Amino acid sequence: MIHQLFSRFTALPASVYTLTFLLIILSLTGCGKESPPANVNTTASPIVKSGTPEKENGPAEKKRNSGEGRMVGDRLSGVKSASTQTPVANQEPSPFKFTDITKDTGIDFIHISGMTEKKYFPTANGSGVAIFDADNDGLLDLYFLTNCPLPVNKDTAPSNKFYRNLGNGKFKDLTSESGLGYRGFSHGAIAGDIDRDGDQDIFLATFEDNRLLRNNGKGVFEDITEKAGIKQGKYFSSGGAMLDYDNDGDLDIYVSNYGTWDIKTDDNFCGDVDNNLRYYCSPRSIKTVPHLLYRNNGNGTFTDVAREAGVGRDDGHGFGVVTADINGDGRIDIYVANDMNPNFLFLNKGDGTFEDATEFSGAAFDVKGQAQSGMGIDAEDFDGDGRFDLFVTNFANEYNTLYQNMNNNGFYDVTTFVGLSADSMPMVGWGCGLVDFNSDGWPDVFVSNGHVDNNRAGINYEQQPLIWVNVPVSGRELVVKNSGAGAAERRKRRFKIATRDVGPYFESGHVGRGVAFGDLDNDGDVDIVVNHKDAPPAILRNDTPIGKNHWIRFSLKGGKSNPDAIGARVEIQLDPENQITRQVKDGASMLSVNDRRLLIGLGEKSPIVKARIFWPSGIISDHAGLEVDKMHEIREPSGQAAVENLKIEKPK
Amino acid sequence: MDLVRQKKIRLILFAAGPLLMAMAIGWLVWIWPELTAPNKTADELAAEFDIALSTKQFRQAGIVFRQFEKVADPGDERRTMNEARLNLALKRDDRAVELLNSIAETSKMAPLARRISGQIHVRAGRIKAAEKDFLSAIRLDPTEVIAHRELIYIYGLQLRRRDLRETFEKLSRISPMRFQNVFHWCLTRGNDWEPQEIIDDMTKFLAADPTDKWSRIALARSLRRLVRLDEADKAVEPLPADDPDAASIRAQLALDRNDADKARQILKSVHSDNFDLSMMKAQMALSEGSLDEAEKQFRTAAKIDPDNRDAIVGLARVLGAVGKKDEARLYQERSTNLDKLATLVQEAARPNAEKVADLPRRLALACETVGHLPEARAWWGVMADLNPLDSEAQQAIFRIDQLLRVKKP
Repeated sequence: MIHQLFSRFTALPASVYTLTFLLIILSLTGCGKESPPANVNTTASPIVKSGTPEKENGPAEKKRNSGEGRMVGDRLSGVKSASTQTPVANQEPSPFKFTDITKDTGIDFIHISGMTEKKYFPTANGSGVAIFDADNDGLLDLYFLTNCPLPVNKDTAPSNKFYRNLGNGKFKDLTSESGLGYRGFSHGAIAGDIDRDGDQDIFLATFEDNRLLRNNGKGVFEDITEKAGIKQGKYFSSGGAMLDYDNDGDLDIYVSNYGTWDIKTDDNFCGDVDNNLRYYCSPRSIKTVPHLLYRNNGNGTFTDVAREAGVGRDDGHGFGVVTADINGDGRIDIYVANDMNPNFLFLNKGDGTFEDATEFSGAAFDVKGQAQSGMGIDAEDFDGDGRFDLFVTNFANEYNTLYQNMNNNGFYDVTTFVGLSADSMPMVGWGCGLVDFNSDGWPDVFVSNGHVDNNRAGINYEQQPLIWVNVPVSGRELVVKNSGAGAAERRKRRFKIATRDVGPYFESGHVGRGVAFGDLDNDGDVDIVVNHKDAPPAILRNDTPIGKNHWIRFSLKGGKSNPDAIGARVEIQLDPENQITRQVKDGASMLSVNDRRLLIGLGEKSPIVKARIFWPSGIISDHAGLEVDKMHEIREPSGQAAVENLKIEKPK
Repeated sequence: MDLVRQKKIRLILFAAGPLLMAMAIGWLVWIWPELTAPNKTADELAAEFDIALSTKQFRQAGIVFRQFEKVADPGDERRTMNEARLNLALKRDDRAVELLNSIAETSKMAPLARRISGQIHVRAGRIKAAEKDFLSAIRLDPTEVIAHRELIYIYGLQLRRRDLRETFEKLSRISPMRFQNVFHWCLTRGNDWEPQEIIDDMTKFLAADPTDKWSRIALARSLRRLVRLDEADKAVEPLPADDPDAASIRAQLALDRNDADKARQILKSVHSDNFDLSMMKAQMALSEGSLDEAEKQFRTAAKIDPDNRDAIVGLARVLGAVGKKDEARLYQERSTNLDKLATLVQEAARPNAEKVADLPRRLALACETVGHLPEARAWWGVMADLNPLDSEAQQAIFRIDQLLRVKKP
């Protein structure tokens, strides 16, 4: 048997090599090596020769040494023979409607990944997109990032593209005027007001050449990388998020690094040797490096304090990052999706350092303790208990994982039990969001999908995006009052796949990567922008009928707190029984920037709402009589004494 | 005309005569060894038989075997064994199995016979029968290394984690373990194989033996992972409704179809001390906010398999959530340490990890911390193999042996 399997190893492409682990066990067992047991030597006192299984290890060991993978989640795994039952079969019509308006917007960007038949590793992951208001005109502009062929040639590399929102559904290419036309290998963008001058600056996470670009307030950017002291090096950065980790009022930057990769030394052949067919290598072949935490020195310079701050772990192929108050103690935390490593959770201790709660959290691995291929990420309260749950997208044959916040006593993988497992299993998931698309007050889920290899038989390179609607279990609202300290009411909620009739975009395959969410047309719902690998992007206008549902939008401006109010928690009291908790968070999705404004769906409840805002500084402000279906710009009040011990429960 | 015919016949006879003669002589030479009485002892013939088999001279092996039969004592245990081996070489597997199983358990050949019989079953895809034979071989000879390895192959394919752990542990006692071996031991506490590959194997196994429950379960699990839900349903269909392993899969399939009510109903209908089932019940309760029920079920799971990470992590979460802080802290500590070990196992999965000098030591310490003493001992063994003078490793092995002796008097 093992001979048969080994002969398959030499005869078939690597897509079928995925049992290498098993083969190693096979070779360990010595089983099935067609060892005709008849050949076993026996003597008068039978001495069994084991059949020297080590000799059979050759092919398996060879594969291992070539850096190829073997477990579920590895780049070599695929979706061969996956079901046709998912995702659209037997579905009710979706409540969502999205229209792909890309062609009408004037956006002509096309992503270039640099992928060739050589399958250089960095060209697998694609790029992000930023939705942000670059020129402070109240309209969200778009900034698309691109990779380029490797090795990077700055003279010939395609440039990132910036489009100004003209407000009539049209966008204008202002790349050269904006100074955002970086030519190089861009993965992710991070946006925030790093100099407290009231506009959004940009950090570019790239392959070995990170950039910091300062906005002059009119949507024109200056490269201040060197001046700011941003470290250059052999880092292969993915993305990141801004946060004011030391609560000094200015924004610091967390950058996730995938690792190091050098075309001269790390370009290994992975794939079908006989047919000279290359596939992307396993992430395991990439050496991980510490991620970065740039402390804003307040004078235009930054210092990497990752190690001192306790976030200097070097064992994560970093991808998506979300910065939010995850454990409800009033301090901003960091959660990082890592590709085939445990997802990091760093809990802010409030003294300028973090507690590494990765292994404590329950959100590092899946329910069986396996590290998954973390890519996209989000933190949102899906069940209405005021606690922020965590969501991570993963590779094919894994599922996209939802970790339920257990009363701030860590997290538990409840994916299978909330309806998110089956449909996501065949897909390679990337950018994502727990976002309320129909203004009913409950976050739904969107995930962009697409495989990494475009040359494997039986594998769909282009994959459908998935969207789930958040619904009550058993069709009715059930309230659960948990017992114990810090317990809160929560609703029994689950997710239902809802891709049927959403729009043509959802009915075809794409090679999705970065995704950003924001209200591009300021009509009170969240639109979606997807940056596809080696293709034009998709601008998906949300045309979901919301019926009698209402919404409210907050644009929070920090005073004592950081200017973007990242980490501010907003509690909306709809009536004595119903409260919605949302947060200004940064990062989320993957390699992308979401609308900083907080758009909150309210359902059909009260037309007038009360809101309480917990600012990162500790200040609490109450706002009554807020009109719904409108935007409210709220500045952090000054003069009010900061409320200490805001925390709901201090983490252990 | 007649004359011509006669001449032709004569010519043919003239030409064919020597040919026939040569053939007759050749035939005599060919069968001579079988006709002549051997002038050799049974041991010599047995050795010749081994050589003939190992060099794939199966006809010669047959001749030697018949000679051996003539001179060997009627009670010589090698008679049946060698006949079985000969039949195996000649691809008469069923006859070989029959002969191998006719060897009495009291015979010193029996462990080998059972193991070979098991290997023949594996080759034919009859995994259940193979497992039975390998277990017999081990019962008869606990040092039967290959039978342990074969069982690891079976349990590995079917992801029967507890059986896998126990077999790895036994194997580690009778055979040296390399880095990769111990790594796989640790890894298989929580991994998944690529489902398509498993499906191919399990389908073959079930075709050979439709009564093989574990292959059926493994097939259903893999089909489910590929979201081939209807096929997964069919795979477990022959298993009874009260089979806890099948019930656990059926409930998962119901959840995959967004039918939580059906899942709940399935779980309620089966009462069994089964780890997977208890975990399913606990997780279902947890997802619905029934924390007391979740706690109860996690406790049941932890009682069934105290060494299983999933139950410990679950208990840590749920006890914290219901406010039983002190007890939660104990489980949380263990859960954190287990996930620290999982992080290290991921490190061991990197290419060339075996060349990272201190990794086996860190893994050994992590395993000891969480109470996975047999794995810890094996990691220390890897260290000791690398450097026989490693006193820390030697002391650790001694220390763990003492602990294990106390644990398992």
